[in-house]
Amino acid sequence: MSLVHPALLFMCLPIFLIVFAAAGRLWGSRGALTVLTAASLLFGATQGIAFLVVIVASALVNYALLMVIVRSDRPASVRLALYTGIAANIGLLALAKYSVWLGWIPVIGTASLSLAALIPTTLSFLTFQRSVALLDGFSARGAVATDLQKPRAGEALSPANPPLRFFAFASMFPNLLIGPIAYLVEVVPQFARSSFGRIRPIDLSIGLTLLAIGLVKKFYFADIIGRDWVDPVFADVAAHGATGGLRAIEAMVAYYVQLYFDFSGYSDMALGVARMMGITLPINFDSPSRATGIVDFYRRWHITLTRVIARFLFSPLSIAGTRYAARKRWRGARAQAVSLWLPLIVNFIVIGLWHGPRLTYVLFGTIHGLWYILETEVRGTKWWKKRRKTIAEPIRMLGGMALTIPLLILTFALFRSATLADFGHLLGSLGNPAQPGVDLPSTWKFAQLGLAYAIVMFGPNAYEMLGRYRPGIRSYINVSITPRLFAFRWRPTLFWGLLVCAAIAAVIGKMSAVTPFAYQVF
Amino acid sequence: MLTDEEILSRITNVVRDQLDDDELTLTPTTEANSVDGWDSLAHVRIMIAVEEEFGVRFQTSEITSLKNVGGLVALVRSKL
Repeated sequence: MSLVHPALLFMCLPIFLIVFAAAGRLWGSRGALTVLTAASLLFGATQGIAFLVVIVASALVNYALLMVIVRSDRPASVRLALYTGIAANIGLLALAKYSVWLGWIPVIGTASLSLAALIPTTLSFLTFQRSVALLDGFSARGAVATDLQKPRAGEALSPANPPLRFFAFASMFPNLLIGPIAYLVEVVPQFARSSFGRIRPIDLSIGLTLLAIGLVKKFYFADIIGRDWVDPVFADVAAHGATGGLRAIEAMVAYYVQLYFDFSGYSDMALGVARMMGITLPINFDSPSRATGIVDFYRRWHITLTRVIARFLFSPLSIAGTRYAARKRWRGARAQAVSLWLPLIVNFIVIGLWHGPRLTYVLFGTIHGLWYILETEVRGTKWWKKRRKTIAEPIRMLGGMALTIPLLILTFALFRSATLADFGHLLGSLGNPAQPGVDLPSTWKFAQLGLAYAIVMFGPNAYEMLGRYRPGIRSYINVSITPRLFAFRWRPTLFWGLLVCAAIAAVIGKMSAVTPFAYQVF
Repeated sequence: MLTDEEILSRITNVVRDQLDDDELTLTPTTEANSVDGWDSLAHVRIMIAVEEEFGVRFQTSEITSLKNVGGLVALVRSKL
């Protein structure tokens, strides 16, 4: 069952919130956490019993290893527990996800194929969240141990807290399937608050607003744009190896906003549902579609993946490379290559591969990696540092967008293509003549795509609108480039309440057909 | 023995130098993400430069888990 299934949103969620609040009132935060964990396991069970068994077994293993990491006095045991945990998590993910590439290996291949058949649901997000918890436990042992055990005011330190807090964190249903990938140190301290388990009207209002924004993004934009502009064209290319030139351009331009509305819509919903129970999750999107460069883009797009890969993959590689270059007394391009370029390329290929075993993802990652290196080097030159001061900021930003957005549209089309050949055919179709009658959808459809672009280019994002109520945890501070005219600010007033209700009511009619989220397969 | 203020001041100079920003001021509560240009790429450069400045060596996990400049000052102090 997906988070947007009508039965889940309009029946299970209200019942859950009532039981959650009742348990919180009767048994405090521990009661509320127990209900949250139980509900998360039930939610997991809707993905199939195999999925449930695997996520529970994985949580048990991760919990046992995390306890060794934060409690053991022997550094060798701590390291062994960390490496075992990471290897187990990545191994499980690889088996479940990369069977296409592992199929030829004896035993492992068979295991991989069976696991992939048993668990069609993605494990990518939850495996990353759990691995990062182990890494967090390793690098901040004291803080993690305290977060897991911190008693409520007036209570004694409780040995019963850590397993419950860890399980609630590791299996929390709003972000279990498609993120955002949260850090343990961000979420678990919230369970220790004396107010946890009480549902506050303001949290409910913020949560409902985020949920409504996410639903509108998904049902009024992502699904419709996909249906009208994107899917038929990519299907055409896959079936016939070509499509009309204009249609190819339209599909590429449309997919750029479709993917944003789809994935960020899910993230808004996840943050909204979590907020209803008083939990604040990290923000995953911050108006990425109007990025002024690739560096800026990755500070705004799938933020919780960027920050994890940057922290646990790029940084260690870059530190090792920088030290290696210093030891060898390398300077110039050679030093840059090992301290920056190579770590960046690895970083982006892993980001690409994380989405699945496809060469299109590898190429997508490689192109973004090279682009990131080029942009970083240009920004670092004395010429640019001098030049940038002479160009007015709005002009610089517009110039940045004009260079960035077309390239993003192009690389996202690669991301959407099932094979490199499909992408080649799509590019090859750009020069084809228009197909009269097929190429130009109705004015209404154009208006809808135009509106989608207007929103991503000029509108405030959900977190700007709700800014004063801290709707999510910010990982990067980005400059807001929403024109003042459109910088609407949400308030818990009757007006906004009616608007949110109207949005949800409008979406209900569309929910009869639930299209899977694009990121559900990654 | 260096005081925390002296460590902070030397760290500030290193960061100014690395980020090419002579007017940058750091306090113990400053976080990297609030400083223009202090991203994960710059973070590695800054940390290696801080190591050189104080003649100390950090572990990778120490570098990647710092919360703010105050944490960096404490880390440097623990190594001196």
